[in-house]
Amino acid sequence: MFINSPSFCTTRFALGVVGAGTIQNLRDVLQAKGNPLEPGWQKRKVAGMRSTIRLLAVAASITLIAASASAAAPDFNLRNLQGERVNLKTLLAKGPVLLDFWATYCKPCIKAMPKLQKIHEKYGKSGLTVLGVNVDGPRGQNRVKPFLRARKVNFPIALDSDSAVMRRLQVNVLPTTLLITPDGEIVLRQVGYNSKNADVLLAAVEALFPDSGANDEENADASADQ
Amino acid sequence: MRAPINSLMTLLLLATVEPVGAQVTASSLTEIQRGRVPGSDSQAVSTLYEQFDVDYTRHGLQAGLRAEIFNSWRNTAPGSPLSQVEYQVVHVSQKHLRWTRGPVELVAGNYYAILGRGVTLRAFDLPGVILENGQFRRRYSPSRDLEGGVATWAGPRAEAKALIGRPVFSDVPPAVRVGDPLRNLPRRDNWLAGGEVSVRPASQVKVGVTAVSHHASRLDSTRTWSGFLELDVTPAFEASGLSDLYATVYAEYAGLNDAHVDGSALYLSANAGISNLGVSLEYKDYENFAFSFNDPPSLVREHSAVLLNRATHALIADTEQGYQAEATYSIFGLATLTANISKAENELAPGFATTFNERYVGLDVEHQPEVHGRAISTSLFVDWGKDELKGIGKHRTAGAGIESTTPGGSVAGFDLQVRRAARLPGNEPGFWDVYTQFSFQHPSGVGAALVWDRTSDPFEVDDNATTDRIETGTRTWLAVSLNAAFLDRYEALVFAGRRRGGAACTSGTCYQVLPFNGLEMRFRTYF
Repeated sequence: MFINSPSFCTTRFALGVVGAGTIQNLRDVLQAKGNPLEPGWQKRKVAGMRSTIRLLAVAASITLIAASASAAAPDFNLRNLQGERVNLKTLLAKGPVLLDFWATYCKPCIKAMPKLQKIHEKYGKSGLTVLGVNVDGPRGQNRVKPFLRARKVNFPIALDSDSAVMRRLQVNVLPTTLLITPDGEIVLRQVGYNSKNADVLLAAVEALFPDSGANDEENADASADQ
Repeated sequence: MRAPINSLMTLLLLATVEPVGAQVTASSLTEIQRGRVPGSDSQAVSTLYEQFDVDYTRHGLQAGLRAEIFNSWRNTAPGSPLSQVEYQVVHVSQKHLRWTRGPVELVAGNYYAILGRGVTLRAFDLPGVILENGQFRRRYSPSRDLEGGVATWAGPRAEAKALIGRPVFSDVPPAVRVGDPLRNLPRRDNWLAGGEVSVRPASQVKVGVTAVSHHASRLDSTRTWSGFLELDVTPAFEASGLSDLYATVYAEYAGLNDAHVDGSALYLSANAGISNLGVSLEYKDYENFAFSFNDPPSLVREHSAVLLNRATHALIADTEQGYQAEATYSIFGLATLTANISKAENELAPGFATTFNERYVGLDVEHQPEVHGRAISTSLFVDWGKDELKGIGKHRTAGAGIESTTPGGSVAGFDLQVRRAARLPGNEPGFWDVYTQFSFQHPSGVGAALVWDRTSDPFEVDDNATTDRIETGTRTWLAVSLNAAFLDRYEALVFAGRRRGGAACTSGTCYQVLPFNGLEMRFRTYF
């Protein structure tokens, strides 16, 4: 589907650059400063043209790079609440990983917690790792453990105190949930939380574990909470 | 301009030469505005901001960059049909090369890092935040990164980090040109070197030291250091048969020496809990510890309520002392009660100190059973205190929210927050703030919200140019926003109306947002 292709996105990006910058630049050179008798007119025009070519080069480069894009998760190291090192590659060696970026002040994140806990309880033994990545930073770090324990959340939590991993995984909104297959491919990216998101996420996890996810009774339990 | 093109070409080369086993991740954020900033623009201004992040990964090696593009136009000649380009820049604000193998990580270029709890150093990102600088009128990403190199080794019982780099002065947008002849305003005109070493003599104990040497010029340097201890007492409780009880403590003391002043910072924290109850306690005492490259814990609650965050206290690490305590209690898994108290004292001059204190109680309830097939959740809070630094002698805030989810997944919500504040004696009289929001979200990913914001604060002016006059009337900001998310790759947000300026917070960091009247479109893409 064309609209889903990287080319579509990059074309829009390139249009943003070219349309907003270059065409405007040309307009200025050719129209607003269009008196050839003015001193320095030719110099300004050449500078404008050069700027135009540079903008085009940048847009074309980005377009070509993004055209080869695939949704893949780069490796990272973080510390969990117990101070142990958490490495994505090591986790993926055991099975799929469900990453949930959250913070204590984020209400939709809190709403998502019980659903993630249920997925952890149901698929954890089958090899799925549910990893919450907390981005409170030093301001809220001390509250994370009491916050989770009071709510009976016991899936692993890693601390991304400088938002470096958040940036590396291109996460800009809380909560964002990424489902990553053992070969590192991000098969699902969910931004925000609602009950439909929860259904889609559960279906995506079930697709990775067709045997353990096919238990109708357990499915009914999980769905009942939604 | 040459540097961005060279960087992009290098990435392009990497992507095309060896595509097998290689991964490229990218995201794009575009924001278009048409409107005016009250107090700064007399007529409409158009801006386009584009942020493009791309990372190329292959066998533990990662190369990436962030490109930012900003254009603005305005009619410089009244009545002229032509829009004049006011500003135009393509800038690569970040680029990095990262190599990771097991416990070792090396980064060259732009990077983020934290030492201890950020008392001596914290370089961090603010994902998704685009700020406009009121002085230079540029929109940009205000990330506080370092440009240089960092090496990290994380073993099972020990960890070491060494770094060198130039911190960014993030209040200045990139590529601002000033002077005659024009030249770029420097954003990184000083550098630092530092590191951290920590060991775990036992699984529940961690001790470490950090040090940073900061050089603003060849002659002027500042040295900071800290020592910290982290202790998990939970195993001791378990050994005593109290398996439901947990507790951890953390203490960090930091010192500063330079040619002019001495400084110190003490941060203590503990958290503990049993069953459904969790408690967090923190204490701070900072003296001469404010730098552009550190970020000590502020010990002021970050709220989800708009009015509370807008009235938050920004840490003054040059002189601040205080504490924060918070308790969380879960009631049968259906409701959560949160109580928080915080206090900060700032001695701004000998004999002149100001106090900020805040008390907060909040209740969040998930109603069971469902009402007519709808899942209902409600939240209530009350908050009170004072903020002498802002001249607020007393304030009371209350809020209520309700959210209803249909069996089909549609969500409708209503949020109401009211604040009454009284200024200190000798200042202007008290005022009211009211904030309401109606929102609707369809399960297809399309949603809308109506925001109504109103204040009678005489110091909140429509136009900065009129600050010499007291505006006694009330002011209202009304806005509509539409959002859509589709195909797991695209998010779109349209804002139309008037937006009130003020403080906003992301991941513990607060910043000033300028007011805006007009139309704003934001489009985000993940490749």
